[in-house]
Amino acid sequence: MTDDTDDIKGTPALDPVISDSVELRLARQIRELDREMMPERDLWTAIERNIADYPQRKPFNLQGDWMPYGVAASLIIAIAALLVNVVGLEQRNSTLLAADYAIDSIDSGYVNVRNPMVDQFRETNKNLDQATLDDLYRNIEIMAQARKDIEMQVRANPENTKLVEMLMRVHERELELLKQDYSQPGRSL
Amino acid sequence: MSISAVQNDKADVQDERAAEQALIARAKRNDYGAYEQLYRLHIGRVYALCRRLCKDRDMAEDLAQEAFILAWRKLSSFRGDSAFGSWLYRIATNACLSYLRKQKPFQNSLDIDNTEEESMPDDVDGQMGLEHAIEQLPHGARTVFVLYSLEGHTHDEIAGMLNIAQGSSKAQLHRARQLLQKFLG
Repeated sequence: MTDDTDDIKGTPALDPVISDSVELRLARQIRELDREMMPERDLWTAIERNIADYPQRKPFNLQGDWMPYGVAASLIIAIAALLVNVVGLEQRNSTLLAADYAIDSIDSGYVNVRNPMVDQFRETNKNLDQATLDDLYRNIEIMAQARKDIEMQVRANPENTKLVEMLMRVHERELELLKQDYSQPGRSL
Repeated sequence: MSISAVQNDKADVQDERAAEQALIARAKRNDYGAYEQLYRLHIGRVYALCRRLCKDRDMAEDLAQEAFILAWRKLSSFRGDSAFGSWLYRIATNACLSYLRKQKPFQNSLDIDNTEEESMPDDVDGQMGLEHAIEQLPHGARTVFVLYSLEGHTHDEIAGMLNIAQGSSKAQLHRARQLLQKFLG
């Protein structure tokens, strides 16, 4: 905080009594000065118009902006590794084992990202009415079930690249769905 | 003041702080109504700061407006480590100083050796009010006086904001007080 005892060397000395009196009066006037003033025009209209062009974005965090992209990148690498392994393996059993192992790794990484996002999703959308929430959770459940079904298909048919692509798309879509704040106007599934 | 009165005051402050935190949280979710309430809570202090720093009424209104727009754009980065008001006043101060730095008379007046050349009001013996007296101060002295005596910044902080030495900040404050005493009669 401020230190009102600051002084400058070399200033002409005033009569201490007069100086104290003047200083005290100034200090009192500063204390009594209005800390607030109101502008003559209402500034809010212009502010509101301006900020409408800059909606708030969620801060950069683990559950937020970069994680889905990180997951997507990891998935691409993991799936590419899976395909290389699959092509390189001659035995069907070995292929299936390798596919299972790869899918387990992908699934475990994905769930680690998805679960905190589900918590965040609950927190963000907790003020919605019950019917909307039920609808949202039903859709999330459908998406999760679709993911599990496709995972099973990929395990059974690891050579089928279309299935793998479909699994990736479901992952991305599910994360997108969980990222949304449905309390905002215009947001819907 | 009794202990219970102090406790009540403390509880009121905590309630106000909690209410403000709730408004900030809502504003971060794009609730413009909540941000308008924050605007209504703080516009008085923000405008007073802008008005005293830059003197001109229209410009002060523009700068106060700009401060609230900038605060909105930075709101997601506000973590609540300091009070929202302090954070907002700092944004307003920076907006004003940024504007003032572009004014040549302001830059010149930051040099304590140049302040003698600035025009001073003729009517210096009258009993003018403090508000009017502050307006009559040279740019550099007024800025340091407002930041130090009214806004509570330290000389170290002011020196950093104005890119001057601490000694210059102290000298400007001393000059401001001398002139104010003269103006106030």
